[in-house]
Parts: sequence; structure tokens; C-alpha cells
Amino acid sequence: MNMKKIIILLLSLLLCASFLTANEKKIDLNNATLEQIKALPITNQQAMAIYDYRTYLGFFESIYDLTKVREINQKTMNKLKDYVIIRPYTDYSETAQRRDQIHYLLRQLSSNEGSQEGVADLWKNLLITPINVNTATFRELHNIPTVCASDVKAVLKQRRLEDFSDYRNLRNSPGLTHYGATRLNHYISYQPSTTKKLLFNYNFEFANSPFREETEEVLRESFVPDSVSSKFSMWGRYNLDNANPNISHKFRARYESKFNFELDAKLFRKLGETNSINPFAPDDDLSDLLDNNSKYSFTADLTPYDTKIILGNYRVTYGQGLVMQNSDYFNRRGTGYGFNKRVIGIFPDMSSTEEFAFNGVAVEHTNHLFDASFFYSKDKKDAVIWDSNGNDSLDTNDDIFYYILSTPRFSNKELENSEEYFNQYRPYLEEPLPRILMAPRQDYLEEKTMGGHIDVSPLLGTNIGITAYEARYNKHFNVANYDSLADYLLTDPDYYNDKLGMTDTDISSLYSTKTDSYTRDYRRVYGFDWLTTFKNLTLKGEYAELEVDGNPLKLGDDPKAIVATGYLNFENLNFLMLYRNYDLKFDNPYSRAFSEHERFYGSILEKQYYLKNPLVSQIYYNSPWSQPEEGIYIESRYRFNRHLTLTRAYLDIWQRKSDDRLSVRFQGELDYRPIYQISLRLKQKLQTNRAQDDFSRSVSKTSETTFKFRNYLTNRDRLQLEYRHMQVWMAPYTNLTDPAEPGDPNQNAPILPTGNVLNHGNYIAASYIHNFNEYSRIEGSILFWNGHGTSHWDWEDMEIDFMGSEGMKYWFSIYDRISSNLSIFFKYKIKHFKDNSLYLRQYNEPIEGNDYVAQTKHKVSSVRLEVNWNF
Amino acid sequence: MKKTLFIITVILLISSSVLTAAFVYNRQTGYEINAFSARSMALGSTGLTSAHSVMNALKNPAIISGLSGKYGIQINNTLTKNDEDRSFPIYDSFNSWIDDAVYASNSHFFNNVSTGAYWNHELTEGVKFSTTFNFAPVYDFNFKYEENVRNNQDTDNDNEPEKIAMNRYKGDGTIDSYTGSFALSLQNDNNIFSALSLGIGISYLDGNNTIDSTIIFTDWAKERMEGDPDSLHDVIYHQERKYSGTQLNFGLLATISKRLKIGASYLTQAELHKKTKTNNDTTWARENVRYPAKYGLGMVYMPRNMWRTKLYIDMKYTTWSNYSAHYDDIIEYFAGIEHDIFNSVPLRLGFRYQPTAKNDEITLTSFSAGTAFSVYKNISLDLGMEIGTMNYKHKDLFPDSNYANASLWNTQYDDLPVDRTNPDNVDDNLISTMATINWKF
Repeated sequence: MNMKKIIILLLSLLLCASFLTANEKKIDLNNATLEQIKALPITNQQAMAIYDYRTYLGFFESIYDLTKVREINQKTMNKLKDYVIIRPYTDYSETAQRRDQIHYLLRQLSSNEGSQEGVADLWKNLLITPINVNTATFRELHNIPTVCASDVKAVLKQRRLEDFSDYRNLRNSPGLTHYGATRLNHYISYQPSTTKKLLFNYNFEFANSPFREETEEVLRESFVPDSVSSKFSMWGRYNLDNANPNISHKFRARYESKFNFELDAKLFRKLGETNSINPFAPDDDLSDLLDNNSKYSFTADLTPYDTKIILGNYRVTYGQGLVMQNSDYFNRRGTGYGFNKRVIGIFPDMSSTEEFAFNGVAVEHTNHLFDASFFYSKDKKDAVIWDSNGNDSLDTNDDIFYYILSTPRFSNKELENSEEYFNQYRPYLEEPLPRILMAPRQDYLEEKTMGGHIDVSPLLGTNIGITAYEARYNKHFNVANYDSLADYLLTDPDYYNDKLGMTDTDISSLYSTKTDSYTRDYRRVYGFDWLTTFKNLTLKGEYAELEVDGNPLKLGDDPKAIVATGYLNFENLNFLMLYRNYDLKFDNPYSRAFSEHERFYGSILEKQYYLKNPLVSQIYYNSPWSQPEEGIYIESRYRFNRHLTLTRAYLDIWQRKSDDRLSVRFQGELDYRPIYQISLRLKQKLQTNRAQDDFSRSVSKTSETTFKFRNYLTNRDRLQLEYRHMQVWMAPYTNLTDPAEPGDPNQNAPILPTGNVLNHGNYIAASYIHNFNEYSRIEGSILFWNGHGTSHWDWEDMEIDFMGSEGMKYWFSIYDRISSNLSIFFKYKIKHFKDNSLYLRQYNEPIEGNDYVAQTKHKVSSVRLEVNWNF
Repeated sequence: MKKTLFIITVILLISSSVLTAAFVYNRQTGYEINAFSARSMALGSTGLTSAHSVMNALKNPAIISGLSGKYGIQINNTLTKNDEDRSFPIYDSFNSWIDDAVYASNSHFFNNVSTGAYWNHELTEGVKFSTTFNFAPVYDFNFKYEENVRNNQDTDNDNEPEKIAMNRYKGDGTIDSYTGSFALSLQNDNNIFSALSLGIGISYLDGNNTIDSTIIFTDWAKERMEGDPDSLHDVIYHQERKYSGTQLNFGLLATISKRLKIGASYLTQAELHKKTKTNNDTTWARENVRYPAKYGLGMVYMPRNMWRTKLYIDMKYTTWSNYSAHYDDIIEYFAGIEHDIFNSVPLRLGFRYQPTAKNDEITLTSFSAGTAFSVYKNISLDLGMEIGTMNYKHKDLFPDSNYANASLWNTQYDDLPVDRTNPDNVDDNLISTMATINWKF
């Protein structure tokens, strides 16, 4: 080495050293104390501003961020350059950073909580701690929202060759669609989680939304028909004008390590209920609070042993939900694919489900070859009882008519007191009415449910499972003699049966534990399910039987039900075909399989004004059970090109088992995007009921056309305009065809003698979303509708609204992430509407023989508040 | 823009009188005022930890040590629109309820003014003494109710219904608070609390309240009395009330960390001397009434956010059972969020949930919003708006006994769809706007 080189080297070292020394003197603005910042050549006010910016707005990513501080101008920044340095820094934990990345998905899951009852918590866990794709089982990956079985199979097949190291690696799995890969990516990691985490989440909800229209009708129905005083309805007696709002507190604590432990608790009071939910109130009965207004669960996930144990409230779903899916909510057209996917297995349950909640112990073992789970629950259920022992009163020895989900859930004291009060008047009416001898009772039935599921996977992507459960009861279900039951159910059974000529096979087919041929104290349901994939084709299905008087080991001799589906999945196209056939007598209260309608739709339970006890009609209005039907359903989605997409089209042809009504329904929606910012959508719905029978009195045909214009004005603003036209061709109803003049219908025959009627309605809406930044957004909508007898449904941001006849409403909501761990949602809605045409008495004074047809105006305002805090 | 807003506010201030707004519902005790500044109103009537408004000294006297500047003045004006609809139920021919028919609809405007001034003095380094004086109405008796009482017979052929009487009900007055507050604050980063302020407020309460109730029957109604028009007596009722007394307020404000401050206050029960004179009384009837004690607990949370953000949450426990055995103690909740959206212009949003003492199932729910502008150097303008609603049942303000008069109404039907002896539905809506001008020196 010559001298020149040595000098250059020494000089370079000296230069580096001087730089290093200089850097050591520089202050790192992301870590400096206030005193250090004050020591810089700036004023105290400027130093304070820098400190405040870092504390309350964000860390600096570069020196140029200094100009974002209002007190620092370009000149000051240039001066500071020599004294400060910015090193990347954050004081957020790994979890908080993760939450920042996926906050929009967390918000979407919260807003979908209604349709995906109870499973959002599971998906939120997965978002925060993604599952390791290199060790995950088929079921774990298949439980991720909207991911289909053929995508999961493609991933697992590729994994046999090599572990995935990143998304690009995953994306190259042969057979994995782009959509499947992007959906998976949010919920998976490529390495095992090594950090221990302790996570807490608190969620508060408040909503003073009004009761649903049909619920209000039921609650206002008078038990003493000759009286017009509201005190003879449950509404008036319990002053539901001032109904308590819906409130819930949900707390979740989760410790993640080698084993995962989760402790969940929920304290709630639903709309209109009067129980106190203050656990510290001195006069309140804590046991009542724990029994009726709380849920809790403890989960131990022993990951190394592939075993999960849950104590407390849990949720169970298997197969197509035909044997077991313990939810209080009906999911229309729950195909089990896409957004309607069922999450299979056992999970802690902090959802709003009360009646069909399980409370006990559940164990699940999952591995790559088989899954096995077992559950046991002991819980009290609400039921409608009737005076089966004929002692002219309702007592604890009476049999059960059926389960009921009540809104609000009146206590037994409230129910018994009100019945006693109404009964005082009924025998003394002009047309005397007998005592009320059929009524709901809270926690009347003690149900011990035991069941399990075994699932074997002989091939990758193929599962065959068996499910069975037995529910043991301390009371009898008894609808064996429907004719005599009608006397308890109906105000005027003769009128109903003879004049209206209606029968309710839906009711008379319900399961009894006491019949002429047997007496037992249980209900048993068993079945098997399958899932298999061939390339991009998935076949899924489930068969189930309710044990009545057949041989348990023989198929087909008991009431049965079947769902079979086939699903083809391409990059730009998917195609689904589903067949279902449920026997009328397949009365499984835990079945939530695919159907078009709830059970009891079209039965007498829909008509509270014919019932001796209107509250019984809530068996239908809150029905979570699938209607017995047979039908075939076809659905598709096709992306023609980047501009044109058939977003969803389906055709369903089905026959209702209770009265053989045949119906056809079609819906299709086309989305045209000439440029990315603009979307034009055209949607068409068509439905025909009983079209096969020209001589039927109840043929109806519905058509609904919707046009949507959606414009992304900026990358933060979205404007949407929507117009909808609807037509219903149907048999005439006299209250729709009566003229609006007073007169005696018997003498002057004012009813218009129409052959059929055509109702047509319009709907126009505008909505706007503005995202202030990633943390805050505001959304608002205003809409007008005129139904002329038809009704519309409007999907708001977190709920769906029913709109009859005519009116307008507006609402706005604010979503605000206060910090990375605290978010608030607030919504305010005002709705002005007119009710359907109804017969009215003349204002303030009944005039014999004269009825008016008029419309009445309503105004409803409501507030919804939700707070979500992670710490 | 700023000039226009300033001019509007000045006009509002100049046009203000001492009238304020209240609900008929609160006519006995007065409507308790919760927001004393536009900022507080916009933030859901919070204020236990908010050191931005001198008026919040009425909520927590300890906050005044956090006011910036040496001294300052604040003037507030509130303009309130109160809409009240009273209705009864109507039924269809199946005797099912259809809707509530509104029979009396009232809409009235009110406004009020409050003001305060403060002075800060640093005694030694880290020790500050502050004092304020505030004037503000704290209980509000103002309301107005007018009802056209009509007969509805023979009206089905396009005839307008005959008027039977005019029923008017009106309340005036407020209980005003004249409050002096003192606070001492200590700063020491080594303590559990990096800053701690303690405050005390001494209030003299003084109030006037008049209630007028009149029912004037029309000539048509009197003629219907079958030759005995004098049997219908007009009702003219007038009552005056005067209140006076004192009240103490103790407060604490502690800075827990750079993200969290907590505040607490205790307002003592006020035993007010009440004088009442009814109609032509010549002497005052005297009694003592106890206005409730209040316990407040609040916090402000200041997270790191893209916008500078403050979240305020207050809770208040009010012992209304002191006032009357028929009243319940209540817990009220207040929450507000403030974001600095650009150039220190804030966006404020708030929510208030307030049960009533007469029946804690009847609640006032309101939400609010607001902003602020710097008008001129040390002068700033805060604007706030609140929309609230309260629904409850209440007996008719036209006495039920009048409905039994067979000459005025056809009473032959026993099952009148409207049972006027039942309580009616009352739908109260409140829209308040508030402007605050701050001068700081």
C-alpha cells in the first residue's frame, strides 16, 4: 500500500468519525425530551409545538415533516437541519400497528354483525393474530370469510410441496383464485406467532331505535277487544312509549401464548325490557341479572394438542346448519357460500342470541385427518304454554305449544299480572271471551342438550361428518290434538276454520313428546354431511332426520331434510346450484338451513288479531326456523371484463310444504363501470307466488327495478343516487280498494269490484360518504318513497329498514377513531312516514255504520351509539 | 366569513333579553342548564376537565387555573327553539292502535345570556392562583303553551271545528347564579399528578318565577250552556315566586399523564328561601326548598391522532331526592370529541344522555356539534348547536273535568276512542344554538 492510499484512508476515517460525532450531537426528534427540544435554537413556543405535534399528532417520518408543525416555517426547518435527526420510531405495540393496518376490515366486520351473528368476534381475533398458513387445518382456513373450499384445497395442495414464505409465494398456488388469495391474505401469516399477547376489548352499544312495525302492532293489540283503551294491551300496560333503550356492555380478554385463553362477558338489556343491569344496585337480584341479562364464557385453546375447551356460552354450527346452528336469527337464503358462509365448529358466543344460546361445556379436537367435538348444555328456554291439564289456569304442569323469542322479553310476573288484569274484563264483554289459557312464559322449559360431531377427511378437500344431538326436557311439547288446541289459540276457531277455510299444517306438524303412540322427554336429531372438491368444483350437503317413531338406524323412516349444493369457482365466474327438501314434520328447532322464508310464514300466527293472546304471534314474527320447503336455487356471478360485471344473479323455484304454494323468484344485478370512479348498476327482481294455480285466490306477481349511480368524486368522497320502481299484481284486498268516503259497506256496497289490483311504488335516495382521513368518516342519506301499498327495504350502514306506504327519512352517521385503540360510532335518524290505508273511526267520535279510510302520519327519531376500546 | 359570523353573533348578543328556554315538563323545579358556553354545548355539555371556558368554573372551579392568558372575558348567548307536540292515541275499527293524533302543537323561541371574567397570577414557579366571576342562569322556568280547545261535532262536511276555549300556560324567570371561584394549581413533574388544581366556588342564587295559567271560554261555548252561560267560568291563575340562597362548589383537576386528565366536583345542596304569592294575595307565603347536590366525575383523553383530538367524558350524580321524596336521584352522561381539523379550527361533536328526576325512564337524549374561529388577534368566537329530544306521558293541560260537560261535548259514547283521562303523549324537541365571544389578554 503506498503512502497516498494510506493518507486517503486516514482522511476517510476521519471524515466518517466527524460525521458520526456530529450525528451523536444531533437530537433525534422522535425520542428527545422536551428539555432537549427546548435546547435547540428555536423559541420555547416552537419547541412546545414540536413536542405537542409528536405527542398528539404523530411521529416524524422525515425532517421535512417539521413544516407540518404550524409554528415551524421553511427557514426554521433549514436552521434545525443541522441539529436534529429523524430515526424511524413508534411507540405502538405490534398489535396496535396491526390494528392500524386492518382497521377498515374491523369496522366492516362490526357493521356486518347483524348478518354474521356472533362470528365477527372470531374473525376479529384472526385479523389481530393471523393464523399461520403453514400449519392451519382445512377447516381453519375454510372458516375465513368468503374463502371457498376449492381455494383452500389449492393452498393446502401447494403447501405439501413447500412452506409459504410470503404472499407472492401463496398467490402462485395452482388453482387459487385472485379473490381467494386476497381474502386469505388478511387473515393469515407465514410464520408462527412468537410473541405473547394480552388483549382486552370493551364494546358498548346504545340504541333507542323504535320497535319493528309488526312488533309494535302485536304489542298494541288489545286483549279486551271491546275496549279502545290502550291499558288493555301490553303496550299501554307497560308504557312502551317510554321503552328502555337497547344497551350492551361486552368485555373480552384474550391471552395468546403457547396456549390461548379467552374470557368473555356480556351484560345487556334489550329494547323495552325493564330489568336493571346495574350489578351494584343494592335492591337488585344479582342472580336474575346473571340468568337473564348476561352471557359469559371461558375458552382454553390448547393449540399444541389441537384441542379447544369452552365453558359457559358457546355457539355450535355443523354442515349446512340442518342439524345444528344455535342462533336466534333467521338468515334468508343462507347458501353457505360467499357472504352467507357458515363458520363451522364451536366458538364462544357473545352474540345477541338468548333463546337458543347454549350454556355448559364444549370440547373440540381438530387435526388434519379428523375433527371431533362434543357439547353439553343446560339452559332454560322461553316457551308458549297452554292449559293442557284443563284446570282453567296456566300453571307449571301445563304442556308446551312451542318455543318463543319475545320482543321485549316480559318477565313471568309481568305476563301473569297482565293476563290476570285482562281476564277480569273478558268474561263481562258484550260478547264474553274466555280466560287467556295460552301464553308465553319466561324460562319455562329446562333443556339439557347433548350432542357432537365427528368429521373424517380421507382425502385433501373431502370431509364426511356425522352430527347428532339429543335435547332432554323437563316439560312436554304437546300439539298432538290441533283441533282442541285451536280453541286455545284462536278467538273464533269456527270463523277461522269454516269461513276462511284455513288450516295450519305448519302448526299441526310440530313435534310432540307426548302422542297416542309414545311418551318421551327428549327430541333427537341426527344426520350426516359431506364436502368434497374436484379442481374448482365444490360439493357440499347435509341430510338429517328427526326421530319420531322410526328406527334410529334406518334412513328415511322419520321426518327428514336434505340440502345438497354444487359450486363452481373460476377467476371471473362462479356458479352455485342448491337443492333442498325439508319435510313438514322435520321440526328441528336448531335448524337454520337455507330457505326463502321463516317457519310459520302464512300461518295463523301471522295474524295476531285472530289470536286470543296476540303475544303468541311472536312465534312467527321472531321465527329463526327455516320454512319446510322443497326447491332448487341457482346463483351466479360473472365478471365479463373490467367494465361490466353481473354482480349477483339468482333464480329460486320452491314449493312451500304447508300449503303446496309454488313460487318463483329471480334477481339479477349488472354493474357497468365505464371508468373506475363511476358505477352504474341495474337490478331486477321478479317473484311469482302460486302462479301454477289459475283458480287460486292468492296469486301474486312482483317486479322491482333498481337503478344506482355511484360516483367516487374524490378518493375520499362517494355519492350515490338510487331510483327504484316496484309493481305488485295481486288479489284485491278490500282495505286497498275501498273508496275514501264514509258509508255503510253493507248498504252502499262501496267496495270496488276489482278483479285484481296493481300496486306500484317508487323510491328515490341519495347518500354521501366523506372520509375525512383514515380515522374519521361521515355518512348520510336522504330518501323518499311512495309505496301505494307496496313496501321497500333500505340497507343502511348497520341495519336494514322496512318502509311501508309513503314517507321520507334522513340519517347520518359518524365513525371516529379517536386513537388506534378507541373508536366511536354515532348515528341519528329521523323518519317521517304514513301508514297503510286503514279503516278509521271518525275523529274522536265513532259513528255507527260509518268507517273512514285514511292514512296516518308518524315520525320517529332514533340514536345509535357504539364505543369500541382495545387496550 | 369570519366578519359575517362576528356580526351575526354581535346582533344575537344585542338582541338578547333575559328570557331563556325550558320544557313545560320542568316547570316546578326549572330546567337545569348544563351548557354554559358554546364549546361546552358542542361537546355534549361536558366541562369538568375543560379549561377552555371560564364558564366551566360553574361545573368545576378547579379548571380555571388552566385558562390561558393573564385575564379574559367571555360572553355567551343561547337561542333555543322548543317544539312540543301533545297527542292522544287513535284506533281502527278492530280497536287496534293506529297512531297518536296531535291535538296541540307549540313552537317557541327563547334566549339567554351569561358572562364571566377571570384573572390568573403566578405566585411562584409552578404555583398559580386564579379567580373568576360568573353570572349565569342555572335553573330555567320559561315555557309557553297554547292550546285551542275545540269541539269536533258536525265537522265532517268541511266545517271548521268550533272553538270552545283558549288554554294558555306560561312560565317566566330563572334562578341565576352569581359565582366567585378561586383555584390554586401546583405543577410538579415528580408527583403522581404532574399538575394538580384545587378550586372552590361560592354562589349566590337569586331567582324570580311567574306562572300564568288562563282558560278563556269562547262566546260559542257559553251560548251552548242552555241558558246558563255563567256556569262556564274562565280560569285566571297567576303565581309569583322568588328564590334566594347560597351554594358552594368544590373542584379538583389532576393531570395523570400527557394523555389523561381527570376532574371531580362536588356542588353542595342549596337550601333556597322561596316566597310565593298567588293571584291577589297581599302577603308572601314562605318556605325553604332544597335544590340538589351534584357529584361530578370527568376525564379528558388526548390520544395521538392525525387530527389533534380530545375526548371528554363526564358523569354527574344529582341528588334530586333532596328536593322531593317523589323524585329520584339520577346519573347523567355527557361525552364530546374535539378534533383540530385545519389551522386549529376545531370540529366538535357531543352527546348527552340525561334521565329526568320525576321518572328516570324519561330521558333527554341530545347530540351536538360546533366549531370556533379566531376573529381578531385575541378575540375568538365559538359556535355550538344542540338537538335534543324527550318523549313522555303527561296528563292533559286542559283539566279533564271540562270534558265531562255534556253541553260542550257529546258524551253519550262510553267507549270514546280517546280516553282523555289517560295521559297524553308529549314529544318535546329542543334545538339550541349558542355563540361565545372570548377576549383573552
